[in-house]
Amino acid sequence: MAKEQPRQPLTPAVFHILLALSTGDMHGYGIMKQVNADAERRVSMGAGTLYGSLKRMLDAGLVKESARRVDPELDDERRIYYAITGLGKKALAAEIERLRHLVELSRRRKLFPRTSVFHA
Amino acid sequence: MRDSDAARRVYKRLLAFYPKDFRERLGPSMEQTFADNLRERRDRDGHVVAFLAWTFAETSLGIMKERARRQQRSSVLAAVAGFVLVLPLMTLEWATRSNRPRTDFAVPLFVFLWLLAALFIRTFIGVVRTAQAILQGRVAVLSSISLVPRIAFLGLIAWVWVSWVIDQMPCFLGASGC
Repeated sequence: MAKEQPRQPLTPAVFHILLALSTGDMHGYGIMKQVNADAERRVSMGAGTLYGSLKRMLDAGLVKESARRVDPELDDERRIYYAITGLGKKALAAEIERLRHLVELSRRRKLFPRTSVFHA
Repeated sequence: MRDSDAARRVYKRLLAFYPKDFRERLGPSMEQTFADNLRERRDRDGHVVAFLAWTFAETSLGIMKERARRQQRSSVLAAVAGFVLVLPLMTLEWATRSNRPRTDFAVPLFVFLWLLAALFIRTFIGVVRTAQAILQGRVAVLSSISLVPRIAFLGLIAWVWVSWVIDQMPCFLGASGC
């Protein structure tokens, strides 16, 4: 399968997963908790969405399986950890830049933070 | 603890509905995440019913999406392969058109033959996948019953397609009066 181009806009799920993995390698449950914390409960990511996105991200080379190891905070079962790749970091940086540009544009047009359109 | 084990077993059964490569690659991790989430809910407030209902529904939706994605890929493959199958006939028709310059290129005929070929290949892919699953013991042998009407349908499509090609072959070869 072809590698995903870093310049393509990311889906919200992929963006949140990359953002979570930018803090370090994590297993699925760790990613879920980090996404919930990052999104301040605005996003609720279930296993179906998380692993569907992870599968496509693995295929696209944005993330990789790092190792199986034990999480000291949980039980003694070995877990599969996921890590962000170089391509994943580039994709995340490009998406942040895209969002920054949009926020800047909205600010210039006085749509953000208080908008004359929505608060008239 | 026994309830958790039972829920985990049922979840594992649900995961069996994911496509094989997905299940093999991510199934163990999904099971682990489910167990971790279940443990957290149980430790927090003991209310797991809503969590279980939401998780099973959300995972089922994920399975449907994943399967739909596969179907889409198979359909694209069938469409391309069907076109490749019809291409020689189109080329033949194009090459012999000089024999009967007043007739139009038979676009509806080739679209029909292309769609029929694509339908055949798409159905064939499904039959092969089901047969593989039966041979590998991933689905019950009873599922082989579902293969009978599909194979009959394949035979019907093949018969219609070949009949049309044989019927139209003189035209493809440039015979006058077509």
